[in-house]
Amino acid sequence: MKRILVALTALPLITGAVQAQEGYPERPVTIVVGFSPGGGMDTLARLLGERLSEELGQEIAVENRPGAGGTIAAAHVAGTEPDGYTLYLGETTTLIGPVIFDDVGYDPLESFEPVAHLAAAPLALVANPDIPVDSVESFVDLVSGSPGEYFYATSGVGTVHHLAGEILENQAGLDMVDVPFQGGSPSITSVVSGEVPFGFVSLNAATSQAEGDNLNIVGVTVGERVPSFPDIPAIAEAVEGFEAAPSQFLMAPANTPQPVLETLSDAIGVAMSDEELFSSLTDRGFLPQYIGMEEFAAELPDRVATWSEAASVVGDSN
Amino acid sequence: MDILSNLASGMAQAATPENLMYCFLGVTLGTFIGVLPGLGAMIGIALLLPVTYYLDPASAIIMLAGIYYGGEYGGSIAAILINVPGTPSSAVTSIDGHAMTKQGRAAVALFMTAIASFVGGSIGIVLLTAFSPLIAAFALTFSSVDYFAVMLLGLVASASVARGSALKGIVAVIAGVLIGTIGTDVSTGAQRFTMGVPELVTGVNLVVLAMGIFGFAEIVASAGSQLRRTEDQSIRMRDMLPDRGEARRSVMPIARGSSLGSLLGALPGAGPTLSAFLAYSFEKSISRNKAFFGSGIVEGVVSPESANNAAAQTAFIPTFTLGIPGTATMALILGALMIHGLSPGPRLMTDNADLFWAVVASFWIGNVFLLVLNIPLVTIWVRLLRIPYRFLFPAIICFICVGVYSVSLNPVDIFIVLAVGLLGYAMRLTGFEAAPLLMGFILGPLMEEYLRRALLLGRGDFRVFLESPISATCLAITAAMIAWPAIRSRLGRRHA
Amino acid sequence: MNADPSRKMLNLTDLFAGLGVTALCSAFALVAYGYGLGGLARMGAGFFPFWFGVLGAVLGVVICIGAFRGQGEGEARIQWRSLLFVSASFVMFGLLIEPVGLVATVVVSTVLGARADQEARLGESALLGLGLAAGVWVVFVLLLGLAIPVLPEVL
Repeated sequence: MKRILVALTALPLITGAVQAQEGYPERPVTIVVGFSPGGGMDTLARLLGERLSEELGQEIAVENRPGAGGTIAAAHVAGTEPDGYTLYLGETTTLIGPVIFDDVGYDPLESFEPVAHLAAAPLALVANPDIPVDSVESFVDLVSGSPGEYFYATSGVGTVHHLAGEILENQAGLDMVDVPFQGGSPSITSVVSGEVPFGFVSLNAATSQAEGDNLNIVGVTVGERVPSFPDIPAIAEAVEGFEAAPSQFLMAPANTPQPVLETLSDAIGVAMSDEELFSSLTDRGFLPQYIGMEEFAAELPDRVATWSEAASVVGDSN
Repeated sequence: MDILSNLASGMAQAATPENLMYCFLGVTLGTFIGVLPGLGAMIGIALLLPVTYYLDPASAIIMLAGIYYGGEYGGSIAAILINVPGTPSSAVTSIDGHAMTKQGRAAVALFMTAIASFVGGSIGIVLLTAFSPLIAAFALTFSSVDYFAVMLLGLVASASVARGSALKGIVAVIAGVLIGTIGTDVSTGAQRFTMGVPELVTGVNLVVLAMGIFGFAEIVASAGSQLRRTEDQSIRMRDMLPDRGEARRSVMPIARGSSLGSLLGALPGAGPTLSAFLAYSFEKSISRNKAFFGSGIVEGVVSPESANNAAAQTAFIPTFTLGIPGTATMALILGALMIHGLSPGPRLMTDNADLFWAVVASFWIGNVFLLVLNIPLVTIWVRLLRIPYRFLFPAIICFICVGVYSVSLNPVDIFIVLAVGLLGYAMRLTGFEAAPLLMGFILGPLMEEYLRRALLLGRGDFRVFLESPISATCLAITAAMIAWPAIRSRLGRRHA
Repeated sequence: MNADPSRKMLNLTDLFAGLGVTALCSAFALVAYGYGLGGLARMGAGFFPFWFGVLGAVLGVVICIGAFRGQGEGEARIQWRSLLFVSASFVMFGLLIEPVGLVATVVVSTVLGARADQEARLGESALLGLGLAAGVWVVFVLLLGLAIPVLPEVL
């Protein structure tokens, strides 16, 4: 029995050895995810990790450190050895962490080296099936009729799910109350069970539950309809100019050697151009958008500024 | 009938030589990982997840699931033999299980554990097979209000698990709750009680805490102590069997423990651990031999063991029927499903019926494996105790250190074990027990989250807790449990 | 209950335990107060630990009062030798594992830990340490594939 086990664990090492480049990576690389397993970010990390491990010739381990909108994980990675063996799968919340929380223990621009932009992930506004809402317009009508009466579930205080709600409230002139959960799974459960009438959840989680008629999808939070789900309206169709979609990217601790970053960024570029990975990401509600290290580093300060502004509005209203 | 034919086809699929092998591999590995202090099923599954990429989905899930429930089996072995629970859910088993070891009856304790685990697991599987959708619907009716009430009941029950003074039991629970609040608050992002130690930002790790308060304190108290006599263990096959009275007294506790575990296991959160504590506390409160609980009574072993193994099976219900994982371990298994291209969700059970039934069938097979594996192993485990303690305890120190270090490869965790261990030793000297503290630690943060959410949704009105029938019932039981000792002592005085 | 009611004397163990509980829980409550209690509909970060701290502190006082009634178990004796060597064993493991690796660390902390038992002999425990190092290496590094440093970094 033991021999079989050893043989199996050795498999990835053998297949990888063929393409392995000299030096980095010499041992498994860990991608730290700031959300609980089973959610959208976790799926992204595992799908990318699986493909990337073929490219790098090393196993990619996924480590979940959920809490405080992923900022706990970010601070953890920022404090690790800058050797390219611990990477952080960041998303928009990472950029606004310092605005939302008192002391996150990292700076989005100073503490990290950007590696690559991976994808954008539309969120979905979902409603429990018992709520009489069948379009974005009817949602706005219902909620604006009873200010302060309706709750919506989020994946935690200051997460993009929460910000999307706050931004929608501001732009559509609504007054709702956010209910933070610890991650996406419990948040969507509360909408399915009817404990909370609405919620902002990842599109991939929403579509799988909607298939079973456990909830209704009101709309997506990107500017226009998502190609793979043409039947789901964009909230922007009724609330002009509304857009609040998080994006996902990979970061390494500051001072990671340049050659290591380049190896990673290039390997991710190859992995992301893989059609199988592309389609499995699209199937799960992501819009894959690979942006290499240099270009992404150039536009990162702008992204931080834009989202921080949105977040500071939230900070005031809380 | 539908179920039977489904099960039959599932059985045919699960009983292929290949799947049988993966099932056996999973449960065996799970048992050993469960026995080693500091390693849990979670780590085992995380480590083997990459291996399963090369298997077909059914084999992968069969093996990973085997590690999970095999770990529940194995955790109790270390709890009984060396008073260091291998998994948190077996913490309560150590109370009576280790007391039996000290009386030279480790073999009986282990044998009864194997039987209770098998029965508990089997009852869990029957419910999983027949009533999954119903139980899932029941779990969905639980709102934050109800969760809070169940957690509160669990906390009060775990205080009563303590051997000595109930007051000290409550204080131990409170200490656990307070330690549980160390770290970043999930709802506000505030960092609490971290004292500037970055390792504390994510809170105290459960494994680290358990190894400190159980492992460290136990070793310090027993090493070099002349009182330590566990070596005189009888290992003849005949001495493994309980006497007739014990066998009879075990039947109802196993039945009750299994039912309780099956129900609570389906709830996301702390299923196996919570149900083990509740089952023990329930048996203790209704038993005629109440005074003997804690001194090595067989009911104190079989009730938590049947409960946590039943819960380990029904914990799959929300994962399979709703596609929503209840615990981090379940989420890992769900992650494995996703990697194999299955989309978890409410239609997993209907869209992939073949897979579902094959996996359920493998649970039956796995539990039989565990039973046949564990009964012969009892004599080998007990033989371990014949090693003089002066050789055994340095080995336990070594396994605790390596186990804890392997969780996050951070040496600071070893020092946190030491700090928690010193607290644990101080508690032991002053008559506080570790098991209730562990329960407070697990339930505290969950309770805070549900309380906060329940009051947010209820707009700060405490009456929401009385409006839900589930919550109201739990609160009534809780109140009765708190009031009962006072009432009884008054009644007793009147009789006297 | 166990104590003879006619012999009501001060239980020092319980007195110290009660004082310790009250001190620790008060400290938690005090710090938690600083995090803000918030309102019922939106609890602050300090709400939950504050009230549990207060409850614990009160129960600590109750334990102290009980100590004067002479209830509870007898005096506790601290096993100093065992406490010292077992602690030292953990400390050495934490200090050594990263710089010198698994093998040397396990041997050192085993030899040190074994001293907790007066009958321990140096040669015996060194041998035990070597055996354990080998066993741990097989289980954790070889079979489970954990990335634990095995030998000193310089090698």
